[in-house]
Amino acid sequence: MKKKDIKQMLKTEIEQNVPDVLSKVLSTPVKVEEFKKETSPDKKPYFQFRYLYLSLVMCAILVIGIGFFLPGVKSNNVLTPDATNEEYTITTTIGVEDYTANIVTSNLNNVLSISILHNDFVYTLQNANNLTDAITKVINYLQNENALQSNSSITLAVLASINDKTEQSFNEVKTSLQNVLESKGLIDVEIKY
Amino acid sequence: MPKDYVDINTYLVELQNGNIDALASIYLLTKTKVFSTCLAILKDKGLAEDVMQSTYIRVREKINYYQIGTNGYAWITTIARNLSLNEYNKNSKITSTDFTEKEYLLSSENEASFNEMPIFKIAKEVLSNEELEIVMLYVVSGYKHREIAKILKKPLGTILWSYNNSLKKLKKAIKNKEV
Repeated sequence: MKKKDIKQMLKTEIEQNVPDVLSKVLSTPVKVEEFKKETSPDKKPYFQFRYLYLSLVMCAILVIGIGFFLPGVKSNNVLTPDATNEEYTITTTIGVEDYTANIVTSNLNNVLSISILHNDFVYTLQNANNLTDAITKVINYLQNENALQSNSSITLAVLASINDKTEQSFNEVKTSLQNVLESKGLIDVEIKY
Repeated sequence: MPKDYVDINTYLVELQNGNIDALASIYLLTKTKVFSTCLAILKDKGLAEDVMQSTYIRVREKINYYQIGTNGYAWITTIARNLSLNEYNKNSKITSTDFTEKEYLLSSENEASFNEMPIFKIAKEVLSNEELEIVMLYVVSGYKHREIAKILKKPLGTILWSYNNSLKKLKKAIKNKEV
């Protein structure tokens, strides 16, 4: 038997068995319903406000999310926040007599490492929260070692991984160093560049 | 729009305007579609007849809700389908504890009605509910696959695949019965 025959047979047998219900339907008393709109007027604002609230909540979540992940707005950025998203490293070298301190930072304020070289030995200092903190730690160390006095001379060198950033970074570091030295009363210290 | 659709639209509009005679014309145009829709879901001739009657009563009650220009066949079939599904769900929650009643339902009237429809009897045995509905809507009601997809709210691909698969199953089952 072909599919076509099966379809035809099925159709015929159903058609032959369709019951006649018309007379019953016509004899049944029916109340025809008046057409009414499905949504009542007081329901409409509810839906509008519901979506408005939802949109506001979504916007708030989005704004908080963007704010959280944006670089340059972290709480430990005490100095000038970096407005660009570009990442770069800065190596700050502070030289006093035969001591050489190296502070490596990412984007100026995120301190990666602090190390001090003296007599072929390298001393690694505990990490700092920001550049000023790192410079303070270095100055403290040098004072403890009696390497830094009020009439000392400091050599400062700053190198950024992006050339354009070197000058700006140098000024920031210099200001920070001067502030630290002033706060410690070391106002006569000469800074060489 | 096909001529049939225009006709059913005209009669539905007439019924909206209060002409009760239009119901007879609507009935003649749709009775096979409505009955096959009910039968495909309920798989019981008696129940299908009851729901068929309810469908036309509902059409009369809700005629003012029919939107002029839309597919009248689909509107009536949807009513029939919803009423059948309600009836099916209602019956599936009832468990008969009267064995004589069960035997009666299984053997006498019900069985006799299906002896008059041997192909449908095989179809309801081998096909799933959805497959049977698709076959009945396409073969008996004459709906296009696209329209069936809309009525059953399924993707067109699913309907086509299911229909072809069902016919293969049916063909195989009929062949086995003949042997």
